[in-house]
Amino acid sequence: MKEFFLGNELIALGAISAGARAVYSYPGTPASEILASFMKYAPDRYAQWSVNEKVALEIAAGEAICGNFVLCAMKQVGLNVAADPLFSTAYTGVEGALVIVSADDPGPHSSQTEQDSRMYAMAAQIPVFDPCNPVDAYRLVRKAFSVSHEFEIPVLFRPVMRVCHSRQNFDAEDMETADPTIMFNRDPGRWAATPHYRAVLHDELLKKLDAIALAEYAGRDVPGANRLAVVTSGYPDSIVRDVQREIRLPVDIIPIDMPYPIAADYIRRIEDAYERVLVLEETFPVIENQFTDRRRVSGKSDGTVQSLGEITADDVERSLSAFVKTGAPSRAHVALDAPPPAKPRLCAGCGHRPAFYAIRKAAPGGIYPGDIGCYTLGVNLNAVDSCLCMGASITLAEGIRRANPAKTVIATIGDSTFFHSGLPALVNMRMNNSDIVVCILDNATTAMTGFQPVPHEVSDISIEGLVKGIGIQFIRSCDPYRLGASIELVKEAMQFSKANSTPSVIIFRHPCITHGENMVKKRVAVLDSCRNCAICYRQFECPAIYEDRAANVARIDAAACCECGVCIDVCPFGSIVEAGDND
Amino acid sequence: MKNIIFAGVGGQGVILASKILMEVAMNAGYDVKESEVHGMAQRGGSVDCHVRYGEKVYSPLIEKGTADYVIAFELLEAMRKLEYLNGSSMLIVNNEKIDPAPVQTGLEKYPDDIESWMKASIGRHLFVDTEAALKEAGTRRALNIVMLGVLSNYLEFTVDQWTAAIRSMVKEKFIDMNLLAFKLGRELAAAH
Repeated sequence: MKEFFLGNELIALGAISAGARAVYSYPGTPASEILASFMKYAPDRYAQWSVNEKVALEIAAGEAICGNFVLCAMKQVGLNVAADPLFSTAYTGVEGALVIVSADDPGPHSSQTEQDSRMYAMAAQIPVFDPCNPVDAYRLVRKAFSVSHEFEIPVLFRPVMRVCHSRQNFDAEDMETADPTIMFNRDPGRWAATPHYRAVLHDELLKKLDAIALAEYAGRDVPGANRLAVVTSGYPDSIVRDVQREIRLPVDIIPIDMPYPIAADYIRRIEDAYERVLVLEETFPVIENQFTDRRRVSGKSDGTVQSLGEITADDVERSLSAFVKTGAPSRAHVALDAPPPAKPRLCAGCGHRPAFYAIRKAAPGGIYPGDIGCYTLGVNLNAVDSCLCMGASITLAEGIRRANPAKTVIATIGDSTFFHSGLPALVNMRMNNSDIVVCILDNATTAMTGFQPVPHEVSDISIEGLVKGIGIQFIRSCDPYRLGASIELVKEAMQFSKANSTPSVIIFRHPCITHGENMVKKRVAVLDSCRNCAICYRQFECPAIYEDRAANVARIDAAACCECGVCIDVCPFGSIVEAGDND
Repeated sequence: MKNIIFAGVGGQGVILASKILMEVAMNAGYDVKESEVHGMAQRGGSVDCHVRYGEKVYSPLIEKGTADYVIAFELLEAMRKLEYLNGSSMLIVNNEKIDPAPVQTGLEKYPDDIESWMKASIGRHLFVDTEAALKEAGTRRALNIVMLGVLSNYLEFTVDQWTAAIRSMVKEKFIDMNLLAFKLGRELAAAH
């Protein structure tokens, strides 16, 4: 039966059909749908949302050294978090199979960086596969499992966002596979290797890499039909083929689906067969840098291909034209001034909005380190001054406070991010008794990436209990819908921290409005006394309130309003009130 | 090869519209690819889907100046996609205005009279008023299917092929409503 599949669904299906018995993941765009798809297509196998990517990869490795076939999925910046076990498992290897998906985001569309995970594969010395479309991802993830099993090595799998979030039709096949043999073979020289044995393992790793490169590339022919070659990898390969169909340049296309390791002999054969070579890959020059005679290789180093951003068909046409020295085909398209942007905002009724508003009100001159999630959008309320990486609101706060002894510093962090990497940061802050207010914005889900579960939702772990356990004395929670109480609570926490030279923690607790049902129902109306001060729609920035310029008043958009009623307390003139039945 | 872009804002059903078109094209025997953007864009931002079908499609993304059809669910979202058009492309627009954040908060103005500007600048265009159709369908959520109905007049597929795809792609209790919405959209184009 032919069906459409998202790239991430086909990555999961490929893993299932290759025999993966378990998947570990932490949500992050564009990798988030892989675990859910695995659960959907293989409900009898094991899937775990782990607390962070390092934890996910270590548990996955634990299973894999016992012989299991395991998938571990994350976004590219998640691999930064998991880099420690990544580098080390390369040495120890695995018994069953371990495939690590690190989804890249050239652009970037929803990430802090546009790093290239293939560089990690080179640095850790493990193979990496780079699929060019969703069906290719299915094929290559199966291959990744087979390489991982045969050579007892963890394998990296790097799809870009345009592979993860593209759809393609595909004939799903039989998913039945034999169960792997599970057994932990005690082998301290491998699993508990000391530096002496590590050197031995490194030697073995290099031999594995040579063998993998040879197995993949020894049998591949170099076409040699033209004098010029375009070497492609991943998503740009799809673009090159579309463009080439149209403009038919005298070039051979040589796809590289495993950008590392490439057999030195294969590189040499390409160099020997062509006068010049163009390498088209996203985002870093991973393949390009493996050529030995770079004088005849064009790409990022000589500026023929851009070194940042997503490669588009326009870019490919430009690069190809420069490479074969033809004029670039010009396409007439409509040019115009950019219209006002449709900026992302916190949803109407989101509990984060009044929490940020309360922080601003209580500490108008403060510095507000923020974190990663929907609530990064607190930047729209001028209540997020920094966003570095997961968990860094708390650590940056400590550094910023050290550097600015006269300033009030209030950090905000979501519940999932707090568990991910905020906890060690808070321990450090408590250990050093920095007088900072940490606000944990608890909406009981991982909202931005599609409502994945959080630890205190699926178990009886308590945020209060954890915070209390590290000796923080001021721990209070408040529903941010209670705006006045929230402002007072922030002030109280600030005073406590200052007086006692110690951190305090506020838990602003309101369930995600988009995930669940709004329990509060307070229909509101704007009175004639409204003087259009703009506080409700600009400073509080509720998407359900807009400016009626002609009438010079604020108005409620009834279709967008979710009746949280918080704006009643936001209006300093009492011009927003709960509506009566007649309104 | 056909290149089709759906454009709207979060919540307008852009992704479902593109999935139904993909289903129709696939069942008609074409190779089909689609690309969409997830993540922060879904919190009130612009949403677009690129759908490409033909004998063989490699890349899911449409190049600027090469779209055959741009179907915009909102006027300003149509403006954002004009660079994908060329001299023979067709622009289909639901002539509704939804204020983006900077306009809603009075910081920027919704551009004046973009409808007549687009009509004067774009060769092939169709601006539809979906208000009556949505009222008859009984819900504003039917906008995506009404727009598919409009588009269906210009593509090579039969009404039966569209109907079969809609039946297989929407929840059972919404099939009748959506088939009505499709029919109303199809007639809407004919009326222009």
